[in-house]
Amino acid sequence: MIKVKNLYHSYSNDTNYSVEDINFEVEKGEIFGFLGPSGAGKSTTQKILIGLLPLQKGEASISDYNIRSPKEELFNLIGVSFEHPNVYRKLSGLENLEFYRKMFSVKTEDPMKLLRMVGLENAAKKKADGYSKGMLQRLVFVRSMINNPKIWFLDEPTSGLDPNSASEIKKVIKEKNKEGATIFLTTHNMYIADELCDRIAFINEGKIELIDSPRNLKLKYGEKLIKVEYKENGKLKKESFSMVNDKDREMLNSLISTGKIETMHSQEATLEEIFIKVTGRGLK
Amino acid sequence: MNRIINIFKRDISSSVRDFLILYMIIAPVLLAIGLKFFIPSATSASLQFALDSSVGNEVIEEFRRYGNVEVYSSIGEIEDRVNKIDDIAGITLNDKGNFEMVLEGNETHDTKEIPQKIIRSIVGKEELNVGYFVRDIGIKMSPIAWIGGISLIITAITIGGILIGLNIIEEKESKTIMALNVSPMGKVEFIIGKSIIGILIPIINVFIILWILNMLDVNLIMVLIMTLASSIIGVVIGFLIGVTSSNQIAGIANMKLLFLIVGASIIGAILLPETKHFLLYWIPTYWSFIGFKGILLQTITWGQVGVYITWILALTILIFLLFKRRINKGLA
Amino acid sequence: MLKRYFGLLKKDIMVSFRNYFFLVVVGVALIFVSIINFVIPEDAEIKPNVYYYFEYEGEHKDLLRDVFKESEAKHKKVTSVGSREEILENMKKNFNSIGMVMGERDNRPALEFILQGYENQEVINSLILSMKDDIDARVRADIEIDTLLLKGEVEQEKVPFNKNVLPIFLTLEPIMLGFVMIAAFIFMEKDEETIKAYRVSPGRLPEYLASKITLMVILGLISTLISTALVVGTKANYLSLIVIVTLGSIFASNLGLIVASFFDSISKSIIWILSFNIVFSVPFASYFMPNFAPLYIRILPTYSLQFALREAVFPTGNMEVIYSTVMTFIVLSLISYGLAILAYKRNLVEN
Repeated sequence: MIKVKNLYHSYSNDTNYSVEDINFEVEKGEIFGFLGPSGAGKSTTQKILIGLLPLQKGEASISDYNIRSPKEELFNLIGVSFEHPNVYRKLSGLENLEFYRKMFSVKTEDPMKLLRMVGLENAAKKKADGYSKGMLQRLVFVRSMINNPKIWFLDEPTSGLDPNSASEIKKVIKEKNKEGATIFLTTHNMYIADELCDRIAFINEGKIELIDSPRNLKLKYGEKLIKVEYKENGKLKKESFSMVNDKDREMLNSLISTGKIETMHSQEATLEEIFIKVTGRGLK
Repeated sequence: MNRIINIFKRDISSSVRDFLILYMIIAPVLLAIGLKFFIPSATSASLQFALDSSVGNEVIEEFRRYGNVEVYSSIGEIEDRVNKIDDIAGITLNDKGNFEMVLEGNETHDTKEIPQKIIRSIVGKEELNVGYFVRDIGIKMSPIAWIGGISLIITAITIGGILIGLNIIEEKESKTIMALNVSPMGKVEFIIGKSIIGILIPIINVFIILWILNMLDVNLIMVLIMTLASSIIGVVIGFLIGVTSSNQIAGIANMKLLFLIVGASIIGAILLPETKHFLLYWIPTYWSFIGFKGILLQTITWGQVGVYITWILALTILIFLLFKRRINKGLA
Repeated sequence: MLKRYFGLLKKDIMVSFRNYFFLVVVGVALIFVSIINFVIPEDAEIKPNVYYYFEYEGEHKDLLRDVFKESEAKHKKVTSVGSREEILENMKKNFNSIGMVMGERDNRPALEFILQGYENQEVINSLILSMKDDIDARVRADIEIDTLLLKGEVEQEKVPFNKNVLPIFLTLEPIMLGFVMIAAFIFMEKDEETIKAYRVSPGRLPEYLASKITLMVILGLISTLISTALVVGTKANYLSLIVIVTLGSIFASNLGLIVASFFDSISKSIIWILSFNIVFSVPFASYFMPNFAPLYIRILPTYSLQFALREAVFPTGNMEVIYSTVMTFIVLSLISYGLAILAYKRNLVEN
């Protein structure tokens, strides 16, 4: 659905690239995650794909539409949920959606149905001026669904949301995906990437470091850890032991044989740890 | 004091960075240069005549004494010229060799009358033996010059205020005003810090404008004091716009109302007979206008300067007190 | 395409209504109407006041006195005063005035003109000529001069001065409204980033700008109709008026868009927009002095516009000026709309 080949972009129009030689493909029906710290080039790539930035160098297409000269029909196919809640503050939530749906020439969703989906039905007629940050976030999210997008761009869809709303949003994303939508998700939140994505691209300093499924990444880069709490000289101590490191295994065995262990958990490596391992830097 | 300077510095550096201050100074300068060319051309504006070349050189020269003459070689050309929007009287000779005027019909009184008088003075024989003499009371600056100059000065001062207002709106949108309020920075200091730009730039502007217009041979201390007082109005109005407008659209809407009032004070001061000027006393820029008028025409005394400035400051303080709560609330 | 245009327009109207924009436009129109109807004097004139003192006692006394009396009766601004000093006093108070003293010198009548000092030679010559002609007319036979009128005879001065200001207001407010305000809408949507949401929808630039321009036209027409109805009532040619204001407003809005496209914030662009606005006001000088029309004024679009508006507000049957202005503005509007689209294609792409 999305094909990107040798994509470069420089804000200063020189060789000082913000994204450099980006290559990837997103299959139909896939949830593809773009994971990286802020400033890594996530937004730049996404902005080029949705036409907010010009395509300077390289090739990119969405559903076989070349995005160098995007056609009107392309925008009927895609939906974009922005991180910054960019709605008309002087219009109510409902009016915002009513306005936006008129821009499309494909079948659109009922705005009230969408508002109910994210618990905004009671605030539907209230001006967006009076919405909380979370409410605005949810409004932007459902606005991006109004044209039943085949390809859905989500930029930090759960940032700033309480856990309840966040899990609602994640549920909606999964449902939409089941119905066949291809999803391009940009985030620096490893948990949501881990939970939702079929495949993840690690992006750092403008380059894609690797692309794989979360499971493969963990198998490949993650080491199994055992977290142990034990008593020594009357004091409680915490330590993690790797299951691949011989020395660690020995120490763990000796702890088990002396019976000093109070608690013991097995733990998988997180995507963040893998990210650090691959790129040498954290996600923040 | 340090904090005031810091706000001022920050405003200056952010304004310089995006050319704002440069524009604030350049725009009035360009307008002043335009005005410099406009003044002589408008002051020398006189009647226009479209003459048929058949009337002869002597007649053409005679008409030149009263206005601009354009010479055409046929009646058709004269008709085309007369049909244009501006006022011009066509003069030609008819079949009998008599003068004939060509008019569109909607010309003003003088354009219709003066050519007839010129023709009569050419063809008329008898005249009464009367001597005609001319003297003047020595006012060399034309009304167009001083009205134009003062209007430009007041515009420059008002723009200073408006930019403070738009600046505050922008700060509100980027939420930097909030950051200021939790810091120990007092509101008064914030206000003074912001005001310096709205006072300093107009002073620079006013002197450059007067220099360009060749009007610097007036009492410059009076100019300075008048500009200072007037720019304080600009600043207060700027704050009002800034705090009462929730976004750029509202800011521009308020700016329109402001310009309407400022414009009314200038046009009123020019057109209204002095007995009706009291209708304008409530507008601070009215006092700026008559103050600058007196200074440029050199008819003002220090006593009058004192009175005008008292009015300006009293009105400004009144406006400030009336809206003090709005300003405070708006900055919070 | 049309569905999107009307969707955008509805949204723009709601947003501006809720920002009290309609209220401000109506308010400004009402304030101006009150200024025209109640503040500006009906009999104000650009012509100077004339103060004269008659001290001549010679043989032509009656003849000369009649000349002045007649002039005083014909022109409101001619006033007789009691002394030379009184003339000077009045002249100092009124910058737009001159004085005349009818006396005697070298045993013959002498007419002394007291001027301000800034008058040019042509004006002085015309003044002398004017009085000389009035005086000589008493001693010579009538000289009739044939006049060929190309259009109907109209006495422009018949329209009261205050009402005559209306076309200036119509140029300045309803038409230039779009020039000053349209940028504010664009910058607000840029700051809110709502424009980004629009750009990832199928909606395109031409209809986005068209909707904003239409809003400006609507606001302009509201202002036009309120002010014209309250100042001249039903006498105006409303159809022409609406056409002229619509076209003028479209052109001004396009121009506002183009100027604003060079800047990234409202405060920067407003300086230049206001400066251009002042330049576009220069032709008002020609409105009050129709014989003053140098090339640099005639090339400004507001020049013909104000006269077309005058014809629409105070019809004299001279439709030509309306037709030619309308044609000019159709062309200008189309070209400027194309340029505005080009300007924003460049400008709205982030960099």
